[in-house]
Amino acid sequence: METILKIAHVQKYYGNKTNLTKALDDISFAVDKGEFVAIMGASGSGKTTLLNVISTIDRVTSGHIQIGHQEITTLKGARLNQFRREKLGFIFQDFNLLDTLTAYENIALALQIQGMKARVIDAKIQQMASQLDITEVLNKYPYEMSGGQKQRVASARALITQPELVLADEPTGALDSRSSKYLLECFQHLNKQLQATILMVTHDAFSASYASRVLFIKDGKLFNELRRGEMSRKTFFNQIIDVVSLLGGDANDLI
Amino acid sequence: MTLFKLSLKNMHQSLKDYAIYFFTLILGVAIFYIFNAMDSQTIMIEATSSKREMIELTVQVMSVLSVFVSFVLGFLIIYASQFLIKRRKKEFAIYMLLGMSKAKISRVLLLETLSIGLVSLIAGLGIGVVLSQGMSVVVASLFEVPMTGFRFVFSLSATLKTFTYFSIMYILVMIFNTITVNRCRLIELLQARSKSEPLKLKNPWLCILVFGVACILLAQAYHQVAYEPLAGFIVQDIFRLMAQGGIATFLVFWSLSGLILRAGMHLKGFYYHHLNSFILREIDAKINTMVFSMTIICLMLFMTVTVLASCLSLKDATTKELATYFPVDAQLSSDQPVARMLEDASFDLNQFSSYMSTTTYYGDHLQRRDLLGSYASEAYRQYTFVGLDYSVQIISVSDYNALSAYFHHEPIQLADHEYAISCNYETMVHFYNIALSRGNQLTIGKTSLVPAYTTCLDSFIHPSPQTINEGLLIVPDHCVAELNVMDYMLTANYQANTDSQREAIDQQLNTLAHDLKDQQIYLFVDSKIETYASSIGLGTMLTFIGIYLGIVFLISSAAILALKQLSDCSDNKQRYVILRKIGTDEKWISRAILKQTAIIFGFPLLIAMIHSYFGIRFILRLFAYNGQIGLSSSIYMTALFLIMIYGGYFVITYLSSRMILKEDR
Repeated sequence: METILKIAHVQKYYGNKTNLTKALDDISFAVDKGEFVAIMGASGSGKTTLLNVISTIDRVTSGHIQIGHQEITTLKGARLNQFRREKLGFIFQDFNLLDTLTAYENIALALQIQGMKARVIDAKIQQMASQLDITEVLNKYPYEMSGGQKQRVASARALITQPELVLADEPTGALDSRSSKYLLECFQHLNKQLQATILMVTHDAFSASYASRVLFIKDGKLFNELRRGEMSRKTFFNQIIDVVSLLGGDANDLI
Repeated sequence: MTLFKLSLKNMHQSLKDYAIYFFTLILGVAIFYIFNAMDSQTIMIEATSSKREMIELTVQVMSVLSVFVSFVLGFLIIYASQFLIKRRKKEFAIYMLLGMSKAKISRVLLLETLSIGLVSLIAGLGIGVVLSQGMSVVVASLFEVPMTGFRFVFSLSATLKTFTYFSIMYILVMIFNTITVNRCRLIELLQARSKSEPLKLKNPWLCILVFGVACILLAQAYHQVAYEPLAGFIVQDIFRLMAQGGIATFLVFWSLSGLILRAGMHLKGFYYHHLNSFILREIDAKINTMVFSMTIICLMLFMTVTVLASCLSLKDATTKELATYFPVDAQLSSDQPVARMLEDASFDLNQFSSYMSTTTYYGDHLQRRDLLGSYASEAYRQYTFVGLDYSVQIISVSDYNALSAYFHHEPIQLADHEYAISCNYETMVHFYNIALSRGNQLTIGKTSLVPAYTTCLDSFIHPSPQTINEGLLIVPDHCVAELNVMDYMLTANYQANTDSQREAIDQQLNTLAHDLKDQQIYLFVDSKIETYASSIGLGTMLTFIGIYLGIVFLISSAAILALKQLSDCSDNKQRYVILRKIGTDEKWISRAILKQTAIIFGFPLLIAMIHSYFGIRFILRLFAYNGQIGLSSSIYMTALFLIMIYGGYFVITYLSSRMILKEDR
């Protein structure tokens, strides 16, 4: 299996000498192509910081991050932007759709900023839309859509550029349970059909149970790792719950 | 924390929003002072009494205009401050949640307005005093008078006036602010977060229909002001056309705001290219929410360009057309033969390098209505000031031809039973041409005359800085025997090489005319040099009016646009955050901001330019300057003002927008 993401001894410190916070404390792991990985941890565990340094929004204090074969900790300026729009896809908790554009135009924008020609855009969008079941809402504006539809449009925008790695930050955080379930099933489907590599940050065990592997983070360190293998989702879910209670997280926070 | 400290902190916080407002206030104060301090600036100027009078008149006109200007500025300041206050609703909500009473919040705002007002007044007056020192140089050079030397001048009266006018404006702002705060409900304040309004695309067919209607309205108005005869034009017509133009402008903005996006969306290759879809949507949303203010801004720009360009070109025209319409040094007229009168008064006729004596006549019953014939009543209906019962000035064809040599006209041939009309006043030319083409017959004594030409001769026999020959009848020589003498004229060129020599001869003639007046003999002296001097005075006054009004209108419209654009930027910051998150290049984002700002500033300017083209034509026609007048230099001047003020606001807006939308890290 080809390794898409390789994280080696990454550290991220905030603050100064007298008051130092180790948000990430020597974390190392790797994600293979076609994997669907969930990262779990309580608030303040460092999972968002981890996502931020992978997504190049934030810089590491030390250590290396490789995406594809590109070392990203040294990228700067325009090359960084180029890398971000060509190699990465983002899905955010609050969707981050442009409210002035229709769903179609929002998805198209991701291709436009790559400099893609208008005539190839349409076919790609139609195909992606049918995969995510958003063909009917393509001509609607975000305010006319439900939360689940918005998140699927945002997912289409993230995936249409065929990024090497899709980074999802609490994608179900703003959704009701039905929409969450449907979205996660879509993720699973895309992961299998398109061989999309997905890295999802969540504090929700239910969401994590759709992944093929779950990493647990506590106090900036890798705490545990679970692989689903041939398990049913339900069994996997129970295993995750066990680890979470070990982590000492608040049970209310999880279900 | 005391209230004062709080309000100071607030201002510092919203400095980005307030910068444009503050800048505008200072500019307004400075301009107001400069134009009101003009009279005190003129003390260092050495001017002849006639020019001094012109300067004083200009100063008076400026002070009358200042009242109008203060209304415009007052409106702008109140509009801008209200705009900024409404954007701070959240801040007020927090104060109210913390238990601050509305009265206290009002007091904070009062202190704010007071300090902004004081600082802007002091800064504006300071800038105004410095800049107005240059004003005397400008006045001197425009009136073409020498300066006696430089002195630093501070006008107390202008300072007090500026202070009073702006204080009133600031008090009004305070009143409006208090009203706004008192009207606030806490729940509304907290929900005041800008919700993006549902974007409803307008029905394209309706847009096309409305756009068509607007075009027809505009075309009709354009045609009427620029091509149709000005005959029958009354003040009400101007108001009607202004209203028509205003409504049409509104409709243009309304319909185009819907159509531009539609058209863009149809051009898929264009729409889905780079950030185009985003930019178009942004622009569309902006124009859609400000159709009304765009209209006002466009009309103000139109006024600016028209007033500036036509005032400047009228000044140009008054001086340039002199060469064409005043090609001789002087024309003297009297009820007695002039040459003999001069000789009797022992004036040396050798001082003229050449001269020509001619006579004009009038007929006992020959009135303008006779020249118009069957068209007279129709002409009166169209143009009440046609003056049907005016006596007609008549000249014999040989005298006319003799004068032609002086005025560079083509000599003409008339048969014994033919007549011709010379006229260069556009409205009357139109009427006479109709009468002439109808073959209107005239009777002088026992002779019947028919037109030799079907149109008027574009000529004149009295030099004047404008084309105001309202109609001169040219008849065969044998006819004048039966007519009464109207004027004896002497048209002359001086035996002189320099203007000062010419002035000396003018002086002699004027003294002579003055002496003769005591003997009840009237001699009128029309000299090129004197006409030139008064033309300059008029032209300069127009220049000042144009610049004063132009600057104020420009500031107002640009400030409104800038405020709107900047507040949009802070409201829509999130959109740019999203663009960055999905990996858009910084370069593209800058370009997107530039394009939006350029279109928001450029769109009303473009429409205003089209309006102005016809507006300027209209004004020039109204002032009877037809033909080719050199618009070019005044266009350059107008463009310079536009670029400096409107362009300045544009650049500041663009840079501040970028600053607001910059990534916070």
